[in-house]
Amino acid sequence: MNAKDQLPECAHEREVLDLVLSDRWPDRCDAETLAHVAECEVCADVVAVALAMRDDQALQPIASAPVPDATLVWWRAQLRAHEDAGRKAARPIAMVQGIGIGIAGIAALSLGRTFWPWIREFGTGLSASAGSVMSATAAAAIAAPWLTLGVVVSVIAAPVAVYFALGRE
Amino acid sequence: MSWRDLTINDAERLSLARALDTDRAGAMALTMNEDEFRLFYDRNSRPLWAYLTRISGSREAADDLLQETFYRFLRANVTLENDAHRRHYLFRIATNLVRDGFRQSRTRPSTVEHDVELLAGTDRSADTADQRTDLNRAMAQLKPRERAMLWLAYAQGSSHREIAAVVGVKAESVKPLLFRARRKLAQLLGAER
Repeated sequence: MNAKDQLPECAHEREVLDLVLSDRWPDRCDAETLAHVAECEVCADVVAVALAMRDDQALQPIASAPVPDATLVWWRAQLRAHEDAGRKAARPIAMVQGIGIGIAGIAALSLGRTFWPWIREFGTGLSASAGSVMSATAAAAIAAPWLTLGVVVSVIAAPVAVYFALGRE
Repeated sequence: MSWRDLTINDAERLSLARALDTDRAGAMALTMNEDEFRLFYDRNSRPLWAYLTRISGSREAADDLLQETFYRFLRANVTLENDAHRRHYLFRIATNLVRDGFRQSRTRPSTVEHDVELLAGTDRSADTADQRTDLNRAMAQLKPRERAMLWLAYAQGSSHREIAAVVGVKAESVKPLLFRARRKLAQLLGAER
């Protein structure tokens, strides 16, 4: 025998509840029912709880519940659905960007590590050859001014173009 | 002025419509159109608010939960056969929201105590207000599932099958759970009086 079987039951439980819910308790019910409820623990609990609920509802009838207008709730739901859709759409883009940045960082680190001896060598030689590089650059600028201008413009414009292309996407 | 007193005028509605037009696919991913929603809302919003007020123990919480419940209902990707199923599903969402809130914050009973006077109202007779305060105090000591079951059974007269659908338990479990909850509340009410 499980716990459910041990619960006290009463065949009149539903009938008593209906009397309270239909507002017939206690004035419009027969003496027999009143006497039964006075003796039956199950029905007495049903009456106590259902009466408390009925009195509570009488204070604030459901019909007068202060709910907002349907239009307001509808438009708020629409707006939230719109915002949620935007957030959902942006999630994979942000994820791909994050992965891209991560890969670029790892690639930069491994390249730096691979070329570190060369970079160090280049750095020490750079100060010595800075003067000659400057003079070679100046000579190149004089010899091919349009090519030099093209290189400078590309260096400045490329990041800007990438920024606008990604921004529009 | 609380948010439920707000209304939406034509200009706001137009500006919202324009904003939503920019992403119609995302904005319209709701399971009903506006007219269907209005009918459904008019039939169910007041009973739902009363239910939420009673099981959350707070009118403010009920206001927020009402909006959230309808939003989740509209976004739910489920097929519901008829109005009764839709109603059960709506109340199920509300029950889960209250239960989740209760789990996240175990301070709910104190919130209920705090709202007791507010719920009792100010323009009623002292006796009925006292009765309501008794019920609020007693209900505050129950778990949200117990409050939900009791309200559905003894305020709305729902059947055990309906209660099972709303609360999310097996139909055969309703009887013992309801019996224990009713016993507990009856004792608490007896102690209050």
